[in-house]
Amino acid sequence: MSTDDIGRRSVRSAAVLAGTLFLVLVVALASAFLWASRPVDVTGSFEEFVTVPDTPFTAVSEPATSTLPPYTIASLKGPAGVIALSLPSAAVGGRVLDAVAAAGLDPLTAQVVRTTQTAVDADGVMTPYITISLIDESGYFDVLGMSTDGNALWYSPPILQVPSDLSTGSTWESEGLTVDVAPFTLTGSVKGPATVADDVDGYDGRAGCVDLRTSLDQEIPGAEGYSVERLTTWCPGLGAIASTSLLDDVVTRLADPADIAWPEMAALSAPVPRDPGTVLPLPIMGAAVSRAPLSVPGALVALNSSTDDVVQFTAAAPPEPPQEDASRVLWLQHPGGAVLALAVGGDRILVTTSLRQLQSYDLAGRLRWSVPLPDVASGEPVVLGDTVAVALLDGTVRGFSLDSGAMRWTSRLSDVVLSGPVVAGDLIVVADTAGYVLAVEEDGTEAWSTSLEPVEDPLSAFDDGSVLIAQTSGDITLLDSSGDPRWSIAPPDGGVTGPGVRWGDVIALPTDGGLRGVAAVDGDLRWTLGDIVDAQVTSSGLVAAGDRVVSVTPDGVPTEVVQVREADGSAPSRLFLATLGTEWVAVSQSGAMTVLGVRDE
Amino acid sequence: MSEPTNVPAVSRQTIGGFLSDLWRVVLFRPVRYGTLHLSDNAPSIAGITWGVALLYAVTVVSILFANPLRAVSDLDSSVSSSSVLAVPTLLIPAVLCLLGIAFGLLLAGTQRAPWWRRVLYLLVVWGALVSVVGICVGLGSSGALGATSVVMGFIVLGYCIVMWFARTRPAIDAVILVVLSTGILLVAYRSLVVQNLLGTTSGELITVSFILTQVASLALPIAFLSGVSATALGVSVVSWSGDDLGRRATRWIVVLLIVLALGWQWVTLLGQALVGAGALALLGREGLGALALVIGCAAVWWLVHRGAREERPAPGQVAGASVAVAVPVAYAVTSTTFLGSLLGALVAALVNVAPPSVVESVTALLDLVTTSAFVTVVRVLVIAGLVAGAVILMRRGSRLLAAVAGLDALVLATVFGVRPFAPEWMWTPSALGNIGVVCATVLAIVWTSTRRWDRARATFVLVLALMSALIRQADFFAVPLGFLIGASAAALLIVGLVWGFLVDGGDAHADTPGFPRDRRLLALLGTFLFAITVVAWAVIGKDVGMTTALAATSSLALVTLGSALVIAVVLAAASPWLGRHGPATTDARGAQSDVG
Repeated sequence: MSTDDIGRRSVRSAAVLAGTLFLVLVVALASAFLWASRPVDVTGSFEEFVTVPDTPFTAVSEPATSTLPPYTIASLKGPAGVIALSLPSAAVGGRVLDAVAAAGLDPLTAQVVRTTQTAVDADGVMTPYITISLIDESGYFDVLGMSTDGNALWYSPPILQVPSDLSTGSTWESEGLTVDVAPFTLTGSVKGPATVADDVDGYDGRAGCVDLRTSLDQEIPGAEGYSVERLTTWCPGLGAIASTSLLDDVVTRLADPADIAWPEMAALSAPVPRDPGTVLPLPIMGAAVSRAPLSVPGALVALNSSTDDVVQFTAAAPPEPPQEDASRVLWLQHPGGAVLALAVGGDRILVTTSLRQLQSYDLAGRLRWSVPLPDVASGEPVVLGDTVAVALLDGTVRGFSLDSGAMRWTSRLSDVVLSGPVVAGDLIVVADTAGYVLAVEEDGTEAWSTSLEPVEDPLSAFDDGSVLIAQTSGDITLLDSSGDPRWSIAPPDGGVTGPGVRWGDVIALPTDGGLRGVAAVDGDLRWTLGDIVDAQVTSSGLVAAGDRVVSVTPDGVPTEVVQVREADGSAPSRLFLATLGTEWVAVSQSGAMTVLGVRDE
Repeated sequence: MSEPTNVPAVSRQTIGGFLSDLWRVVLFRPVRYGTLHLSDNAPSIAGITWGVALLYAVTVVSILFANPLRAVSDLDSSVSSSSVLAVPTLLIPAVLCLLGIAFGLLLAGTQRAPWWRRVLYLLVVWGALVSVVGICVGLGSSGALGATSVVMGFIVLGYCIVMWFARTRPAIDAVILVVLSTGILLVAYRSLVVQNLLGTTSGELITVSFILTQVASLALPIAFLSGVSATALGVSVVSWSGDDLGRRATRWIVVLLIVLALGWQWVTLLGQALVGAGALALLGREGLGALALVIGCAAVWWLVHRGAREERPAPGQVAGASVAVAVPVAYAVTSTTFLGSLLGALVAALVNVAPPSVVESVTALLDLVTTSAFVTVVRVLVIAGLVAGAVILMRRGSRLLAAVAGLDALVLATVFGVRPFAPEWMWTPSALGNIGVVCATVLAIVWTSTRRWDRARATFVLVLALMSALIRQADFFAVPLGFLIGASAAALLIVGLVWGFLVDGGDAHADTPGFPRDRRLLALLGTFLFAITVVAWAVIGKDVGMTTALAATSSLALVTLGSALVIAVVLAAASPWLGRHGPATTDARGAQSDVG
């Protein structure tokens, strides 16, 4: 071997060594970032055992032994600080963090579970209930429970429901104070493995389940206390799937929603007409409405953005204590994660979440189905016939059965979809951020496609099958039912801020530069109301902008202005219009409804 | 016309031969000669280069599999009333780690460069790090973590200044600065995570997204260059193909190809006219604007090459010249945007930790660089610089570079000067393509009727027809990639970045006392890694705003300098009839000495 060869080899070896060391450094740095991104998980296999699923599931009571109606449980697990912020009361959220500290837990590592339990009786009356639990290396603790109107009870220290030692025969005891005044004592024992084969349909032979027996004695100062004894079956990854009250033999168990015999819900009585201007506050603490409510027969469905709860409410019929002038919550659901969109299709309420779920609830608030999605949904889902179409960030639009949630078809666009699909005539139309526009039929068959400038703003669809598309270049193009461009305009100063609505031969289009009236036939700009910006437009000529509701004629003439106020007299920053029964109402960001008057049919 | 003697002796009569030569000449040879050659670098630097190349490749693959990755990952979401941002949970720490490595390499490379470069990069990179620290620390009570990151920031600054005066080793500098830069981001990120877990802030994802949006603006020049690189690739492929087919195919095959290329475009053109959708950009002011541009470019080309006797430049040489001229243009054109983002991030960082007077000063500077007047001044300077550069280059004998600079100046002058004030006169690539179609048709008819139709003229008409089609969709090769990965807007950007990484390594081969070879290489590696990291966030994280900004910059390059490149290639092909050039070489990308 020559000197040159030796030299080249040594250089090569040095380079390989340097490269290897560099990659080792990179791996070390990457590992450090992974550590930094999440708290250390101290619960290990126990956490897996008590982990509840992120998606809602439904529990029912045995009809032969109980008068309890079916109810839905939705659980969300996350860091204590994050969960505390999602509660409808800052004070209660603070108690969660206090409980974590009082239990000697590390707030950075403690995992908290929020469970929302809802039930609807045959009269449509329901009170949702939220419980907060803790998981750490010693077990699963209940911290507090609260109703959405603020009534809460809490345990100091948190009460141990499931210990981490699940060996047969192990026992535990937990004692403390309820609401800081009432002593409680809980004793528990692990009865042994549960085989659930005879107990819960659909979970036959599931391994690893255990039966726990607990006895809670609650003293109440100045009153008679009570005791509760239960036999509960816990299964890995599911939590409590069955529970029997040993005092009255009431059994509750998990069930597939499709197998449940739901009680018929009586039709809601029509809301009693109120005088225009009547303000009905929503009796939910910390309500924050950031999207337009959905109109369903006799009620409204809205998203409480502060807690990511879906709430159905209506106007209470007087006299009904204690809040004669308040709206009444019919049901509340917590789909899990952040709710991205709500939509109504037939008698179903469709919800998409940041956990990549598409869920369907009936008008009684009961979960009917929940399907996973490969990516997060964009915009609202739409319904055409018995198909639900939802667009995803991965650039696809998918069709599902409205009845069962079964996936029917997938169509692919060329880039990310930000503006949700719309129904134009008998087609579903969607556009991606690269400007590719696709129209499909109910069965997913492509009807037409075309390419425009990039699209990010909401699409506007009309009954004749035409679609109005605003592009990031500033151009607004109307495509006919065949996808051919009918006209294109470039209005000055302002992008589209919401979907346009057809008023006769004019399209009322909300833009940054004001509400514009554009001729449907040729795009000619007919009029502009520059002081009505970021508006929500309805088909009846009502327009909500800021704290005002304006009635506008198709000629662009404002005929009536209503100033809306919150229940406390303050001016709302934003309003949403919806119909409740025969009336138009304006819903503020706090959820207060202001009656506007009877709508035109 | 006789065959050029330097054409490789291969089987010229087969499609296989054509494809083989296309691969070898247009695709393989630029990579072979343009990629990084590490034999003259220190072994430690070579090793680091391989490590960075592996990181780069992994990142590119992750981008290509963005949708499947998202489908199997947990997502962190941030929802507002108008938009949703959902990113894979692991993407945040991965991107921050890569950014830290890129920043470390950039500092290690540039702090031993000419003074203007070292000061500029120190301000930009250190400013970005300080911004990140300030934003994360300023959100709430971060305690020791915040203090640690601040201290580390000053250590980085101190070490860079030490590098100015001490003879430190490049590899050691790289490792130390990578560790420090990454450490700063690590500590700042941990501070943010802790605050989120404690509930003092709920905006971990929002904050990270904000930070990356500001930092990503530093990638705008690279996005611009990637658009030029990608266009150059497309131009090289199409123009070489036309040239080669014109030489090797039989006369009737060439005529058939011309008929197909022109015929398809005429059918499309007439179809649009019949629909009346306003797309017939031939008559009317848009067409006249395009015609004026073409005439202007031809005049510039003739002026520069008047009296020249050198060989006609090959398409690859023209493309190389375009990329070389594009480098200063890219930084100048995007300077107002990334300066604004950097200053905006600094304001956000300083508002919590600095005295009001300092914040006001930075805010005033921010207000200045975001005014339309400042933007106009910068644009005028860009155009003036190109004109001055063209004159200087011409006097030095670099006629190709001078011509490309002149064409770029003319194109940018119309974009910046005509579009805002008289948009109806603004040319479009479609209008330019239509002019090309008409010219090709007219030339074919005239030369045929006057019995001057020969192989050279047929080749030129074929090239003109193909380039007319190309200019309408210069990113045609990126379209299938876009559909494949579900990110068509970013496809051109990705192709340009990857191609640029493969063929633009020549910048790192030079070696001067003021900017040694190893330092150049580290700076180049940091630049490429930074750009691909930003693209990874944009595509995998589905950050549409960032994707749009980067893709729009690439598209701007495609429309402006890309159009100028297409025109230049056509003028180069027409040189035998415009000037006194001899036959061209068939190298697809060579003559680095002409563009260096």
